[in-house]
Order: sequence, then C-alpha cells, then structure tokens
Amino acid sequence: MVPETLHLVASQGLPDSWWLGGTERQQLLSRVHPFGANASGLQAWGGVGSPLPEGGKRVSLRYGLMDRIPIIEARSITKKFGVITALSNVSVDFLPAEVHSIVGENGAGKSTLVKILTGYHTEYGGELRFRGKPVRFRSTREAQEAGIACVYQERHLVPELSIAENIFLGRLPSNSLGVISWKEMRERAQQQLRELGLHLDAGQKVSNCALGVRQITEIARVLFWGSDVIVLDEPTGALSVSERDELFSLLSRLKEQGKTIIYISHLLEEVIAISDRITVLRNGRKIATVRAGEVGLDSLIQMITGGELHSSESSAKAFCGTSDEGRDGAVLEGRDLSVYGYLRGVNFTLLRGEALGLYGNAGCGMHALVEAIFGLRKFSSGLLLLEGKPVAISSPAEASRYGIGFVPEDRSDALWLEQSVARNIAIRYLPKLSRLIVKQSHEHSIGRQVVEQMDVIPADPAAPVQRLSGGNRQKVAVGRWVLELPRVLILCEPTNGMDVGAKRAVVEKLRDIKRCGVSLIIVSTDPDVILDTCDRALVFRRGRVVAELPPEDLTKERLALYG
Amino acid sequence: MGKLGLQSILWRRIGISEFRTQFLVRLGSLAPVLTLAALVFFFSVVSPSFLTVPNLLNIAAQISILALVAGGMTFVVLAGEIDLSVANMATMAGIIMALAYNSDVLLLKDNVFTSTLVAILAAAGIGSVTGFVVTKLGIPSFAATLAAMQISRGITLVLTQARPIYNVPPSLSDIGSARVGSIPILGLIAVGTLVLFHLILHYSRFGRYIYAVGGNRTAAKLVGIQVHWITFSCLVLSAVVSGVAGVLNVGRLGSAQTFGSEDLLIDSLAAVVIGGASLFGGVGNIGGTVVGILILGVLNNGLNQMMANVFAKYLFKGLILLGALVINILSIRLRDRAAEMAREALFVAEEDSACVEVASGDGAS
Repeated sequence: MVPETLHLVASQGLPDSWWLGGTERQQLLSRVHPFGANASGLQAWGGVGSPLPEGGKRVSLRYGLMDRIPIIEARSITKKFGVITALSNVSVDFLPAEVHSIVGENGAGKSTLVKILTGYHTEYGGELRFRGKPVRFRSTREAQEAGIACVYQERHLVPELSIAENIFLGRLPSNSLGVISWKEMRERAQQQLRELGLHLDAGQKVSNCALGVRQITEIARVLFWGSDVIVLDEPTGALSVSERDELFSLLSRLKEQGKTIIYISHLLEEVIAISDRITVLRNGRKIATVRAGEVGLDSLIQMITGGELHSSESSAKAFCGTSDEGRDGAVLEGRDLSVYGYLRGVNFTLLRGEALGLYGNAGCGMHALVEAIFGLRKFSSGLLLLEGKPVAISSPAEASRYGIGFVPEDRSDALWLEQSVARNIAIRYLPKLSRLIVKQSHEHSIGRQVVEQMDVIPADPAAPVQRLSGGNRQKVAVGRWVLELPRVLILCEPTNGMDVGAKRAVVEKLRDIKRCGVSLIIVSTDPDVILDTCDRALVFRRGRVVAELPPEDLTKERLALYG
Repeated sequence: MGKLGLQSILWRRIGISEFRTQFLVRLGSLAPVLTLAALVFFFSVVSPSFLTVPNLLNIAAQISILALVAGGMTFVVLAGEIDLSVANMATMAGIIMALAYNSDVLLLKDNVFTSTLVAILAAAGIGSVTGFVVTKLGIPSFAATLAAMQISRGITLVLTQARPIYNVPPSLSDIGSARVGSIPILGLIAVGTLVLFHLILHYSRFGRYIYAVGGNRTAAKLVGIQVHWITFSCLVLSAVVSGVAGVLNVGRLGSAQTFGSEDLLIDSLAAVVIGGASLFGGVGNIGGTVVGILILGVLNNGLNQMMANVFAKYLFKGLILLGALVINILSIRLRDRAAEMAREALFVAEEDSACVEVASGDGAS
C-alpha cells in the first residue's frame, strides 16, 4: 500500500506541502530526490520520527492530484432524451485515490452523467475512457465487471435474506463441491461490516434492519465486489450522524487504498468536507471542477444556482420557535407508553400548534411510537390521551377519525404512483364526498384546491403522481391532509432525499400548516430536519427518551451530542 | 412575465411527452381489442358459418357463465388477491341447489327460490371463511382459496358420490335455454351483471377503495381505508357470483353435474389477465375482462367450427395468455419510461425558465 504522505525535512520558507506526481511508491521515491535537489531547500528526508535538523522544517509531500493518470475520462459527453438535452458537452476526469463530488440542482444532469459512467445509459454522444482506453459499456453489469459500481438511492436488497447473504448475493463463496460455505460467508461479511465500523450481526435479516443499516449493507456489497470506482448517490440521506461519520471515515480509508469515489449529494457542507474535487453541473452543462479546499459554501451555491445567492441557512430558524399563537394546552399526551420490543416507558406532551421533533438513530423507537399512535402497532402498556381523554386507537382508519394524520418516510408508501394527483388526494375525503357514487368532478376540484395550496408542480391535478419530482410527491402526500386539517399530523423524514429548493418549499408548507393550529410530530434521524422544522425535540435512544430539548436548547451541537 | 414564460415552456415540453404517454398507455389497452378483431377476422375467413347471427348468439350463450365468474374474479384480482375456488364453488352451488330442491325439507322441497338461496348462502359461507382467513390471519389468498377449492370440491363429491342430479327445477332449465327475441336470457343476465360491476368499480366509493387497496396496500391503510374489509368483500363477492353462476349453469345444462366446469377457473383468470388486469392488483377494468371473455369465447367456438383438435384449444389459449402477459408488462414499462421523460422535461423546463428570469432580471438592473 502506498502511504499518502511522506515527511521530508526542508529549509524554512518552503510551503508546507508539495504536490507530487506518481501513483506507486517507487515512482514517488524516485521523484523525491531530483525534485528536492532541484526545487531547492530540500535537504534530506527521514521518517516521521527522525530528528529535525537545524534550520529545517517538516513538509509533507503529497500526491499531486493533477499529475495522476485519470481512471475515468469523460470527453464531451452529450445525452438527449427526445428533444430534451440532459447533458451537453460535459468533460470530466476522475483520478484514482480521490473523492470527486458532482453537485447541481435536480435535473442538472448529475444522475444522467453517473448513469452513463455506470453503463445504465448506453446511448450518448462523446467518448468515455476507462484506464486510458476508450470504452462504451453496454450494461451496468459490464461496468461493474470493469470495476465501476454504484450505490443508488433506491435500495436493492432482498429483505428476507441476511445481511451476509445480501453482501454476497450472486457471488456466494463455495468449496470445490459447489457447496456454499455459510460459515465463511458469515465471517467475511462480519469482517466487512467491522471495516465499515458497524457492530452488527451479519446474520440478521435485512427486513429487520433500519434504513441506515440497509444502506450501509449495500455499500458493503459494492465494496466486496472489489470495485475501483464507487459511485454513491445521496448515501447519507437515511443515515444518522454517527452512521454518517462512520461512512466518511470509511470513504477516506478507501481513498487511501487508491479507490475513486464519485459522490453525489445535496448536502453541500458534507460535499466540501469530504471531497478532493467538486464538479458543478447546471442545466446539463459543466460549470467548473474545483478543489474542495479552495471553494466556500457560498461560492459553491452560487455556481450551482447560477448567481441567485440564497443561503439555505438564512431562513432556517426565523419561523420556528417564535410563533406562539394558539398554543393552549396539550393535544396529545403519552404516559408511560411502551411498545413491546421497541419502546419503553415514554412520556410526552404535544401542544396545540407546535412541532415536536422525535430525534434519534434509526431503530431507536421513534417510529414505533408514531406508528402506535396512528394505530399501525399496539401499545403494550401506557396511556394515550387525546385532548385529555384516554383513547385506544387500533387502526389507521380510527386514527384518522380522531384527526390524526400520517405521512410515512417512504413516499411510495403514501401514494398511488400511476394514479392522478387528484385521486391521490381525494381518496382520503371519499367518505365525506359521497355516500355511494364518487363524482370525478368533485375529485378534480379537491385535487385542484390542494395543488394550488401546496404549489405542486406541474399544477395539473390530472397528472399521474409518477411524473412528479420527489419534492412535489411529498407535497401531494402532505397535501392530502390539508383540506380538512387534522389535530395532529405525523411526518416521518419529511424532506428525505430532496434538494435544497424542494426541502425549503416543504418546510415552508409545514410551517403554514402549523400556523393553522395543527400539531406536528416530525420523526427524523437528521438533525437539520429537526432544526428546520421543530420547536422542541425529544431525543430517543434504544427505545427510551433520553433528553428533551426545549426551543432554547435546540441546536445542532446538542442534537449531535446525543446522535 | 417570467411566470408566463415558465408556463408556456412547461406545457410545450410536457405536451410532447403527454402525447407519447397517452399513445403508449392506449397501446396496452388496445392490444386485447386488436387480438379479438384478428381472431374474428381469421375465423370468419376460414369458417363461413362463424360470422352468422345464430353462431354469434350461440357464443353469447356459451360464455355467459364464464362472464359472471370472470366478473367476480375481476374484483378479486383488482384488490390484489386471487380466487382459485371459483370453478369448484360454482359446481358445489349447483349441486347444493339441486339437492335442496329434491330434499324433503319443508320450504326447500320443490322451491327453486329457497333452494337457490341455500346454495348461494353456502358459497357465501365458504367465501367468508376464506376471507376471514386471508384478512385476519394473513394467509395469502392463493393458499386460502386453494383450500376453499378443495373443500368445495369435497363437499360436492361427498354429497353426491360424484353422481349428477338430473331432476332440476324446470323454471331454471327454462331460463337456461330461453331467449328474448333471439337473445339468450343468460347472455342478458351476464351483460346486466357486468354493467352493474362496471358501475360499481368505476363510480362507487367501494370501487375506488378496491383499486386503492390493490394498487398500494400500505397507502390505502395509511389514508384510513379498512383494507381488510375491502379484501374480505371482494372474496365473498367472488364466491357469491360463482355460486349464482353455478346455479344458472345447472339451468343451462338441464342437470346438476359434478364434473365438467373445471375450465371456469383458468378461463376466468385468463379473461381477466388478457383484458389487461395486473395480477399484482390495482390495474384493470370490467371492459378489459369483457374483451378477454370474448376472446376466449370466440377462440373456443371458432376452433370447434374449424373442427380442430379439441385439445389444441388449450394450446391457443395458452399462447394468447402468454402474449397478453408480455404486452401487459411491456406497456407498464413503456408507461414508466414515458413518465420519466415527462419528469425530465419538467426539470429542464424549470431550469430554462430560471435562466430566462435571471437573464431578464440582469437586464433590468
């Protein structure tokens, strides 16, 4: 393995790092001498612990990014869908041992570019070179075999198999008789997980795992394939803070091993923190490729949006925590609530018109709590009080009669994708709309009303939900509850996987709903979501509430403390 | 002004994809109709007696029992379930009706109405048990109705020792063979029932809920639909419709047979699927099922006319079913693809208009 930095001793006045070319240790060493001799001032080199000669100082010699031979070169890539140009003349190169992020707004061409690199799109203009040779992958399988693999936003796991089996899926280890060696598989998977910094049982069924764990399993699988180029598409969307940190340290380890990581994310702070270089796309064109160390958040946003500088943070706290109107007493109260196997002795109070955040890692009981409130699970003990009266809710139908709404984490669980926006919304109001016969015009007008209230784009209630972007789908899922406002609206990960603009739009709508006196319960593993939307937060760990953060304590630091 | 620009770009861009989507979706629902037309054309060319009024009315009489059963099956399949018991349920209902009619029990003896009622209640009873087992215990309907299929067969055979019953209500036989003008009454009953089913599925709340449950169970549950109740209702409805079909079939045959209706199961399922319904639920309609029934009816009748090998008809049915399945899956893929393109167009349009707005803003300042 090649060490990334060598410590040299140089005379004062030299910069602290030197950029060097070469990918092999030998190359590096052979370059040190002439470089040092010629470039002046480099006196001698020693190991990390060697004493510093008088007048000398330690400098690091690093691989020069620019001098390395790219593993992938994309030359003038153009991709059209019908009359629409998704990518126009984009040239990028990806080097070994770098984390290269691709950023841009939704539809800027990030996914299209990645899909071309990974062999998903086979029809495109321009040239792709892999390890110096021109290639044209005919399928994702071909790209995988060459060493380019992708971890997509959607999760491609078999829920009924164990984590180990999923990691080894399609490549199960077997002995000479063709018998699968389960033990070896289990051990190797366990080791793989240890490298990912996860203390998980590899024999665990995936369907029993939290979303975050599933995502990591998928990354583990791609790593196991021995890919040299790994594409991560929004990998941190479902991860908790600690899981995310584990992922990042893993990525830097992979980089040390010489792997190329292509990273796509909307979370620009993350991107700047972990990337070596960042390529910005806008409207299918490449705006620039910049070194992460040389670009600030603001200038990056400026490049992405093309001049309209609006920091995503600016309005973050303005609406939250201040609006106190209409808060008179508790809407929902839980006393000593337990869900067998998931939740233990939780107390909470939800006030009218407040947004209560439930924060913690995936699988810490927040979901169990809200699902039980909505009648999807049963409380094994405890008391739930709605406006002071004890209620027993045994089904979602009953919960919605009590005025409790629910927007699940996975939008495909909330919507009929092939049905129109209007139908998706009106389905909740059918009992009120009609005794027997449903009039299409009623459905349509309900749809139109919600589309206008929620600013759904396209503003056409007849459009199938399938054609909407993630943010707009979420507006429909939330919009279903706004015509007849519920007392309590439960939202799980309301902005999961959305870009900056869509997120802001959804958060705005949630605030509007809250101002109308609706109490929100927002479940999230992402502290930013809690900060953006909530007045108050409960922190969960292992099925218990470990902290309550009142508005004044609701800061990223405090949340991270418990994450 | 920027807003206006946005709208026009949006609509222009989507307009193209909208057209394509519509075309592709239509292609999916057009395929069964085209198949039917092709079959009719083919048979009328090879067999001169095929496209004659008496023969067409004959087809109508032949498929009316299947039409009823397939109508019930449509509900079940739309709800994302399956009912394997329909054929045996129909046979059982016919036998129970005949036995009750011939029994010495007061009220039942020689009374076609009460005997029929008993038969339909028996079917409803078994359907309810299946429905309960599926909804409350969570056993897949495939397995539960497999059991119901054997149970109803067992009841039929135990009660009759596999012997047919020839003394059946004359009024029923009359219905089975009577015609209004020249149209068979059974055909009218089938048409009436299917029209009613169509109205239920398309205009009633119950119908909406069936599509909702079949299309996305989780979402249906989350909006407060009583998913169990919908599933249960569909299974019971299918059992009752099968029972009615079984009783009418006794009228058509003039006797209560213990064997011979086995094809009803495969044919009704095939009709629903050929008609474009998805076995995953949520997609399909009565119109499609009707076309599916007609295809099967024309195929059966036409092959008989051609004096083809009786056994070859299974081969043809199978091939048409396979073709329908392939077309279904292709049209779903094409639809998804078209939706993707529409979304992509939207992104580009949004960005274009953003550029326009920025540009005009710059000009002003």
